[in-house]
Amino acid sequence: MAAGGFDRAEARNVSKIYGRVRALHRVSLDLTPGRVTGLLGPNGAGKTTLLWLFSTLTTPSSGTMHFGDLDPVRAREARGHIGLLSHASLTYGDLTALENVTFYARLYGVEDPEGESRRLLEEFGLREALDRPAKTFSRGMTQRLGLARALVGRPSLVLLDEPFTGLDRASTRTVIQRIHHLREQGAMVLMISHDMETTAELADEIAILVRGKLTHRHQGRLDGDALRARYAEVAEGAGQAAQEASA
Amino acid sequence: MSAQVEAGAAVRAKVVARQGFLQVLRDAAEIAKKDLRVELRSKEILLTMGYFGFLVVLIFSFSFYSNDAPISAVASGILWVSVAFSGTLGLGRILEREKEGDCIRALLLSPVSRPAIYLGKTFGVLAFMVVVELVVVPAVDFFFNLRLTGEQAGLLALTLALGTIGYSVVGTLLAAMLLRARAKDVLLAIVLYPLMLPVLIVGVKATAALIAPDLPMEEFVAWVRLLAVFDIVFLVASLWIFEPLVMD
Repeated sequence: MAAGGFDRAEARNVSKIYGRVRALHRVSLDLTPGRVTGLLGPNGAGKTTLLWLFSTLTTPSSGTMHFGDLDPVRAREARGHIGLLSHASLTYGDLTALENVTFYARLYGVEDPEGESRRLLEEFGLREALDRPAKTFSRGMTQRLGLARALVGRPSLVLLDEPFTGLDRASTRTVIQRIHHLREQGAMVLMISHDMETTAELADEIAILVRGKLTHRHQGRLDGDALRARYAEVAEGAGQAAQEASA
Repeated sequence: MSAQVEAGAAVRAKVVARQGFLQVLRDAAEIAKKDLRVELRSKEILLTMGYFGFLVVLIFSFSFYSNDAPISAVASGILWVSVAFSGTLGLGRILEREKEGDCIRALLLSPVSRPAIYLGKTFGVLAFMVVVELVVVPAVDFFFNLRLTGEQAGLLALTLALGTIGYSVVGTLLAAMLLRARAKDVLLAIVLYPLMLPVLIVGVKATAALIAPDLPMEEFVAWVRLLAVFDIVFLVASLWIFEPLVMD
């Protein structure tokens, strides 16, 4: 692993328990460079929990997280190489869009932080809003700002939780192109989305979580219809089986 | 290795190469600068702290009267009570801002060292408290007829600086620790004041010594040394335990 970058991220048999709730149960998932993994599942399936584990901001109750050659107990050292877009914007409402991204660019040691931030924000269609406070942004604009912030450090691992929420058609296309670009650049991308069309367009592999368990994994691409059918079969089938078992 | 990994690694290599004490200070300054910028836009913390601190002094100045004049002997206690109470308001809010938008996660995910994040927040709290002290000290001087000389003012600045450093160091740590707690404002006061008692008592004693008619310099120096020791102990301990306290 050169200079702290890593080219493999893996969850190995991880479980996560919050109090009496088991959010994840013995899940294993590996991410490789140049591939987009689509993580699907019904609400409460544990998708976001798994994303947080990959972010290293939370630790598994059991099992291990592996980042490159890092010893799992030193997984936190992978931080700084991970870009995270979560439900929250992770930006400061009183700062402008440019100030927000530039602040993070400085923390990541980006050369020409303001120039790079400006370029990213313009790429995400925020040229006209560079000097506006983030708190005045619409949901879609906040999402794009969050993406610019997540990518400013050129992360090896990109974690996207519902990246298309609130985006109009044009912005969705921009984000899709950017994710394609990340793949070409060799980043590992883990993406949670309920949008089957965009997931089908982007994902090189699909992982489906149901009730904290990884119930299905598909290597290779699926078109929208095939993905919907596969999801219905796996997620709804598993839900029905669980209901029958509990009855 | 992929282009993205190499590009990111190259960026971080520079950071890793600069992970010395100076880099920690530089990152901390960046975080503090951001806090000050946010505050300059909203002005909510400074106005609240300053207003509250001034009111405390004003109310006490009408409470401690003897022979139609305020009792200057209580001024040192009132000064520190005012600073401590208004400081608590700022502490809660400055950390709360990191929770809004979940920015604390983005900070923790960045390659910045944990001590830098902690120090950055501490510098921010310190700066706010210094501004509040610029309001409170003249108010105490005026309402309690202290008429501080230049030498006394200088020594008071030193005492307040040391006390404020100790307060900010411990306060920031506790506020960060309670960031996800439900009744954090109440808990902060409950946990902070017992811990800050040594600093506050020593600060009051040092201030009382320096506003006494004949400045007992030896006594004053002893109190100030004790404040400096508290600061060092609290700072080292806080840097050490900051990350485990704010994780998960």
